[in-house]
Amino acid sequence: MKGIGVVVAKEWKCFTGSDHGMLILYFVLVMIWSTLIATRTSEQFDSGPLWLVFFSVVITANFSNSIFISERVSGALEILITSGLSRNAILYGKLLFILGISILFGALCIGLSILLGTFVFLNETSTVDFSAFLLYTASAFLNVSSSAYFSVRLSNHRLLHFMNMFLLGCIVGAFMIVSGFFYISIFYLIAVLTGISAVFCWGAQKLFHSEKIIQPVNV
Amino acid sequence: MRNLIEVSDVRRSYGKHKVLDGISLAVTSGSVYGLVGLNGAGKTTFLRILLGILKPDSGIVTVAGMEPWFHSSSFYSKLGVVLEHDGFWGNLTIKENLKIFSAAKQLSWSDTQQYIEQFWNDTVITRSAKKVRQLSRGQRMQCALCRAFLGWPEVVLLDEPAIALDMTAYSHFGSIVRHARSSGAAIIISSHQLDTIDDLCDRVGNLSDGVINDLKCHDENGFYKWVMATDSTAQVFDLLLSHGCTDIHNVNGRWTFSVDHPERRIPLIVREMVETKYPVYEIRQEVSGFSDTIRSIYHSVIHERK
Repeated sequence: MKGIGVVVAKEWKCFTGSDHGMLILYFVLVMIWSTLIATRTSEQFDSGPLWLVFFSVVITANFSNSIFISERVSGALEILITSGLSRNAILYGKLLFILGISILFGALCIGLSILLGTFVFLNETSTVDFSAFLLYTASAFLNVSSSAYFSVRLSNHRLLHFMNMFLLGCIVGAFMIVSGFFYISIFYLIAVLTGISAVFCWGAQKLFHSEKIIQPVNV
Repeated sequence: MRNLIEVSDVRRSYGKHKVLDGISLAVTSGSVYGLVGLNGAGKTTFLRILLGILKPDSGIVTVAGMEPWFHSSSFYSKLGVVLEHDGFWGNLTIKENLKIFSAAKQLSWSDTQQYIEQFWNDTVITRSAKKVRQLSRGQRMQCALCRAFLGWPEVVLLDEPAIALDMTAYSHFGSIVRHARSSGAAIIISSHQLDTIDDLCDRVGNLSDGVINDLKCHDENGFYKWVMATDSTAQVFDLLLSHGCTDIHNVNGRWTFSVDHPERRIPLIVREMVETKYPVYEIRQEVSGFSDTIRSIYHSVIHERK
């Protein structure tokens, strides 16, 4: 647990020490997304929550790219592995940090969309509620765990964003098709996303304990 | 002195390409082993096996009493490394980076600060508050060396450690290596810089065709140069002479002499010194001329290739 704390603290320092331009970019994204969600009026599933699902791809995958891939490219991961931290602590510390920061941005986005919907756009049929937040968290979890897995599995890191998008698109698309015929609660989708995320976590853990973790990245 | 690194008949291939083909090696505590070899000889693969990030296909590897591949994370608290990439986070300052590694090694920050002040005073580590990405290559290497010796680990593995160091930094690095050696660390330095090998290593091995051959540093009669620090008395001269030593010189208690079959004679000399109550502060092989041996090997390899 202490090791996880060290990794989370390290990631936080690296994040706050990064260029301010990146922080501004994230806040601009939050503003755009919360406006998009706030202006949607449909009560169907394909409005607010769906925007949130793809917001998680943008935010989480971006963080995953810099945290999982750039450290492999710079050699920092190899040094981190030999520093005394367990590989599980490194993996789950990173996962926890990305998930935490994604949830933070997600909460900010949802909060802003509610405020904008209520006071600016006077949108009384906002579809964003707590289940939407849970869906966002589950999709962020899927993104971060699949990123952890594919960052080691794929030799070409440029495919990481595509894989995340493709994976989430397939799952959500399948859910939407099925929900077109039958009523399925959104909680089933949350459960499926969480279950697949757990499988990716397990796969990433196996890869982090293998030699693949130090294989060169195709830059 | 115990073996802190023991490698026996280690083999490793990448597909059909055999990189290591039965390497055996032992490095004792308080010694520096130089590893040389042409590009692609397998030095980095060997170091990665010692680090436990690559698994050997066969053979036995023991580092600090543990098998690296099957280690727990506590294994790395006994290890210091400098690898091809320094692995620092460019967004953070040197101290912020060192703080992270100090926490990873479960060292308190106050201990780390004490170590920095004592051993890295007046270097870039104490002088600069810059972010790591703003440092030069040599300055980053100094930081990597500072990190490698943090907590004075039992085993230190250094891959090209002297690269890009200026004269002052190189001299400082030498003093740090000597301090670690005197405190009982086993150090492996993999380098193409032959001056570094000559300056710092007690033994040198050439990794070629998948095996390590220990380089001999003796004259044409099979005599090796040794150095011993003790009290300078005439009796020491007689004692060395009685053990067949030649070319004996003494400067302020630092005796240099030539001896054949040192593996047999040196323990006898030390035992007799101790029995006759002469303290032996240091005894080691004087290394000079490794670089000439390495150069002649390389030249012959290049000649064969041509």
